[in-house]
Amino acid sequence: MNGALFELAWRTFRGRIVRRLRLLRQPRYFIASLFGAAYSLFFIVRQLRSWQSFRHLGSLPPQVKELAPWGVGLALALFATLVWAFASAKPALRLSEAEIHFLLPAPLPRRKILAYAVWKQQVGVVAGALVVAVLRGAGPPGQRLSRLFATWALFTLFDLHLKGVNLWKARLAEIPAPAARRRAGAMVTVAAAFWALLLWSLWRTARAAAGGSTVDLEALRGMAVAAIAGLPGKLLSPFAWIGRPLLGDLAGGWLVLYLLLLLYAHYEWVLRSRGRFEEAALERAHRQLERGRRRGGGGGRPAALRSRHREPFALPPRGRPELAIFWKNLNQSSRLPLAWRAAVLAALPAVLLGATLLLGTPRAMVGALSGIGLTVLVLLPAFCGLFLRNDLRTDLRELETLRPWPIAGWRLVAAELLAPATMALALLASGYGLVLAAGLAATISRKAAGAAALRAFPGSRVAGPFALLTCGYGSLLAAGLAVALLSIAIQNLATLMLPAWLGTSPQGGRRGAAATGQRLLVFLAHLLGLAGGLVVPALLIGAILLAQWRWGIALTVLEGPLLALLVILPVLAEVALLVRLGGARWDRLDPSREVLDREE
Amino acid sequence: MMPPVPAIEIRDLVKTYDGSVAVDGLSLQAESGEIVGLVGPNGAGKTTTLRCLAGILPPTSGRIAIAGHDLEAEPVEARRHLAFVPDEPRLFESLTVADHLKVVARIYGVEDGAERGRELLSRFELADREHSFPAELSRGMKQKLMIAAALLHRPAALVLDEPLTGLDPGAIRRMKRTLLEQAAAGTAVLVSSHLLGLVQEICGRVVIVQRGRKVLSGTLEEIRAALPDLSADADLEEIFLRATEGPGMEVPRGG
Repeated sequence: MNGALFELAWRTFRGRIVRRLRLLRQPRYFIASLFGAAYSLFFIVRQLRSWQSFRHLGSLPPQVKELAPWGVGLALALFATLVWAFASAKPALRLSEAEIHFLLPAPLPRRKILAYAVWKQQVGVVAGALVVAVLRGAGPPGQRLSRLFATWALFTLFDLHLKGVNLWKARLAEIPAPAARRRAGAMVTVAAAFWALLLWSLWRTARAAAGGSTVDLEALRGMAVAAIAGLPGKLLSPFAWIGRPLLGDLAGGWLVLYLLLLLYAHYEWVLRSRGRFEEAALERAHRQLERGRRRGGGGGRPAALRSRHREPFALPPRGRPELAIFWKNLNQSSRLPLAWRAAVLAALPAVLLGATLLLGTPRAMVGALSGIGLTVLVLLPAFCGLFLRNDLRTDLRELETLRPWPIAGWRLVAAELLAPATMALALLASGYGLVLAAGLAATISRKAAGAAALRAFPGSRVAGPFALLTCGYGSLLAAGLAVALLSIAIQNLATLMLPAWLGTSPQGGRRGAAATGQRLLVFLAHLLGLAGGLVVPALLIGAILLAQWRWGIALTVLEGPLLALLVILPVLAEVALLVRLGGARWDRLDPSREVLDREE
Repeated sequence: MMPPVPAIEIRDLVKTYDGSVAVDGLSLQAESGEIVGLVGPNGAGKTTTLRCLAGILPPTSGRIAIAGHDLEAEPVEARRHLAFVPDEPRLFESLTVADHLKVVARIYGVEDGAERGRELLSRFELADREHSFPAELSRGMKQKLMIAAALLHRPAALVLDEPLTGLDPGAIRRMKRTLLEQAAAGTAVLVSSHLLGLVQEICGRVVIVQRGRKVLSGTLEEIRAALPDLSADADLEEIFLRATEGPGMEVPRGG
């Protein structure tokens, strides 16, 4: 890499850090970052400590340790063969559009640009190796370093090998067909010869070692040892030597030298390649941008595949503008009419009920259906805000369109919550549908299949299925919807508070350690916010339960609607408060640095 | 009798970013039926001014009013009378051309939204594209859709930031005609552009800004009169270069 390219890489890296640091001038980002850093540190230290204490438990038995590098070697040989067989002939180097447009027309030798692309990839490779090294735990410093080195070398080797094969295949497409056929034929011959020889020698070793006795673990180990000592071991040695440092064995430093030589050979192979990469790199940059846009827009599917003549519902030309925002956001997830979606939801329990009855209401089926349904009803609401994103999180990208709309901030925020809330309702209703199907099947076939199926229905020991389905699970559905709404409202408020962090970028999902840390932090903050929001309902329900216990009144499922109400009312009040807060924030939001002029 | 309320009024607008001043005490106004051109070199603060006017960026200080409604005190009412077309077409990826107009009609409460939408699509040659998604449109078509959506609610003030970028010559001509028609119908149009020929051709008044401040403003004749060393038939390009690069040009604080 020449000086100018090094300068470009360095300045790009520095600029990225500076941009992030500038964001920290704002107290909310600063405080949030402090929390994130503290948590990350805590996580790393805890990980190191836990692995330290379980080091002896976690270390491999000597028999396994002896064979493990050969297993890794076999896997690497297989990987290399698969790469040669299936890798694309489009060497899509990871260059941004700007890099492509600046560097390709510049008077730079091809070798330098390839070197730049390879070295640029090293940021991700080194970060990945560090993460793996931390996850793999502690040990003596020397062992930790050797594992880190081995992981880095392996990742770099993967990267270089893939690039090399891509460029080699691209070259094949450029040279005359007979020459290309000759080269491809030579490669196929080498690979086929390698695998034929390996499999044949393995088969011979296995036959010799088995000797007609029963095949147990010890016999298998014996076969493996014999294979390593024979031809299969010799064939796999170059691959196994890559695996040994991963297990902390550097063979007195010789394997470090081997890995470095292997890396250098790959590096030169890539740099001396002659296959064209420019078009593929540009295509990749475009594709990446489009994918990001689709993800950001909540679409995910190419526009051509959408059912463009359908709409969730007929939007009346007059009325509250909130409905238009709701309609628009529903379109982001699917253009299927709401009525169709409701019909599918209604048909689901009917179909499942029919199927369960046809199969004779097996107890396991009733248990599975109601178990899955119950899990959906209980667990899903808290996380709806994290994965249903057709709201402000995607709309903030279109801020220049949205902001001039004549609608008060809080009304806009409220309207933005409606589409994900509707989707949450659909998900929870499908969970309820499963429980309903199971409950009805158990009730209907009570006489025929006996009480066995009903016993598999959760809660059947404390109440009848009708009371359970209406007062129990019905209440759970209603309370769950309120919690889902709170979860969505928290995420939208967080988007308005920290817009630079919450995926409003035109490039879609961000990568890198910082983005991962931010996502982790947002997830934790989400759970904390949700827990805070549920304190009041928990206190109210706790008070009721305490009073019942104090006066000796037994808890019955018939109280479900009351308890649900104790969740719904405070949670809705909190959602209203969050909407108001979000609206006030929207009205005052200065998006200049965080949204409008953001590069990433 | 009360004087007519200007459709667009910006008074002493200041906008700073992290201590750097993008707009520095800018004042301008546009009356109903008037087309005002906002020109200036790159980084002069044109886009920031227009974004503040559209309510996208909150001003650091100063007052903005649309059709007599203060943007800070009555934001919803002010925005109801405004339409903004940004320099880059900002469309919703999952809405078709017709969907965009449907949503905008509903947001602005346009009574005859469907008919007007059809008429605008036909005027901007997008009638056969009404079921297309933004990904299937060229940049020029997206720009036309943005403008059609902006005109849908018959705004009292139409603000356009570089509206002709990406349009073909035919579309540029039609766009000029549309702006003139809008002005004739009583809309105040504020247009920012680097195409000085266009600005000279369609704008009744011109405001030249530099480093966030107003350097000159008025009709072409008034500006020529303010710069006596210019020839009597100097065009806007000459005036612009003289105002922004010429020697001894004083930049009056607050215009």
